[in-house]
Amino acid sequence: MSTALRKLVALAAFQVLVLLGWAAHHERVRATAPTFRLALAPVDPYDVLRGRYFILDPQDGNVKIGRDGAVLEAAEVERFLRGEPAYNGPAQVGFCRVGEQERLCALARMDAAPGAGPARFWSRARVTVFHEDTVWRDGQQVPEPGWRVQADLGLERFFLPNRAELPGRENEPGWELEVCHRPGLTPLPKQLWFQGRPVTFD
Amino acid sequence: MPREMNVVLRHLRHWRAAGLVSAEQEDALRRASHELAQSRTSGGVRAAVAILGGGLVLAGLILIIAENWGAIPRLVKPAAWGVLHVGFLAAAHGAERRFPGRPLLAEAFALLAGGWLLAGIALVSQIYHLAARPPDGLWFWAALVLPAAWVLKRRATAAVLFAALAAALTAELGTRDSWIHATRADGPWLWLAVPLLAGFAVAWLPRPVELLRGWLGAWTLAVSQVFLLVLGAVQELDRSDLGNAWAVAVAGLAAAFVFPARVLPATWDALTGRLVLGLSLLPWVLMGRQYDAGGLLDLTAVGLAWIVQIGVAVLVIRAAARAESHVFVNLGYLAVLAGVVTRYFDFFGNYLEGGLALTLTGALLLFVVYALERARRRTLARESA
Repeated sequence: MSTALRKLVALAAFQVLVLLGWAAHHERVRATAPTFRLALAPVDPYDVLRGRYFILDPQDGNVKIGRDGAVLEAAEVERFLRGEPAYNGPAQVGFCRVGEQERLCALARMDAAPGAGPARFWSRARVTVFHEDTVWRDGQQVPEPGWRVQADLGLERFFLPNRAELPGRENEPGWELEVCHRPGLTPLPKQLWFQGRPVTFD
Repeated sequence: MPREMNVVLRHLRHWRAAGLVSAEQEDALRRASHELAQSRTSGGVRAAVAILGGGLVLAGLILIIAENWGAIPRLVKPAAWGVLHVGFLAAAHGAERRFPGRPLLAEAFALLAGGWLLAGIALVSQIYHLAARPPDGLWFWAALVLPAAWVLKRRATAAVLFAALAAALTAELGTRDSWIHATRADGPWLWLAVPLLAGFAVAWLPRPVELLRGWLGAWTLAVSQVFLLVLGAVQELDRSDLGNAWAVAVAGLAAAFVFPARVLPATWDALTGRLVLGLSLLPWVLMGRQYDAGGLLDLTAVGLAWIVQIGVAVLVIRAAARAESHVFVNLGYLAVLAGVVTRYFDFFGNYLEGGLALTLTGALLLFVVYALERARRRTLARESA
């Protein structure tokens, strides 16, 4: 085998193994990691570059504490803030079982051990916490003082086959995402669920 | 007329003047060379067809996978990607040896292999619904392509790497959590610096793309002209806040100032390259972060933009005429025309009401176009002589 050919084989092996190794890593996570389900408020757009996909918009990605059915409590937010007026940065978010779903129920700084509370799964997220005096409801600004917690869970898109028929409209309630738990990382999307049933595209 | 014919004709005239060939011989030689030149498809056309072919195959394969996404099992997709990628690399390698007279065939396969790597990254991201930062995916692409520049030693690989670096830098500048995120980039700094920096990086590869320097020159001229014309016309600048993106701007511009022969066209001498860049940025250097409507320096900057715009175009025409570059002579005259027309509407736009004003404007524009076309032809004729 000539030197040029040997180099070509090494290049092909490097490029293919890196990419397939990356895919294999995620395949292993899908096959072995424990999973849980998160509630969604999805949007179903289409663009030329990405094709058809759900913008996942997890329901616990943006909550007002004490409202909107939030499970996270003000005391937990204040413990997390450590006396600071606001927070914006990476953090650990804990999920507790509520019915068939996991809901955001705990926060911890990256340098802290996750609390000993009821949270079963802890994931990494980018968290923003601030105090909000008013909110917009039905086009009107109404006084509603409290903590606003935004958690970017890294769950942005779920790609759909272009001709897939969905079991319900995107704005119907009951959409969930089953995710693989990756300790210290953001959850990995695995499967869509609708009204308690897994969505398959076969 | 192909550029090589200009050279032949110049030599023939010289030989005829020196009495080395007769008029008949000169005529016969001219006809023979002309036939030869006409019989060849130009390198540019062949390269364009090769790029188009490679690009269409790439787009077609991506579409086939997208259209049959549900039908192709999840694990088969990356496996098929791997098989095809090995095939493209082997074809790039084999085409060079099997068809030594068709180097663009190997270039087309190398281009395909480079683009296919990005398709592979997108494929894995879609299969597993990954939500990583877009610039990370582009850096990943650049890192995977990089060793191919030494193994394949193809210009297409350098072109792919240039695209990857320019795209990654641009995405990084536009990503909020990036260290080099540019909050507001209303000046020409990054528009000039990003391609220059990417071009500078790939200029050191074993097989750089010669055409890239010409493209970077055209891009630099276009960005310079557009920003100078817009600044001169609107006479203001929105806030510019580059933050750490200054590091990219400084690196790209410094690379072009220090090594103009690496990034700017061969038809521009080093001084022209530096002057084009320096003059294009001068109004923004004077204005700073934001235009101050009452400031003398800022008013000077706007006035300077009018002069510099024409000055840069003239500099490019002058350098291109010396280096016998039709393309840059034409681009330079186009820039002069754009400047004249913009200034005309800038100054007299408010008075252009009624049929007479429009007729006079049309006549004036026709005269300007005629005069510039005459000057352009004269420049090209001087170049040929």
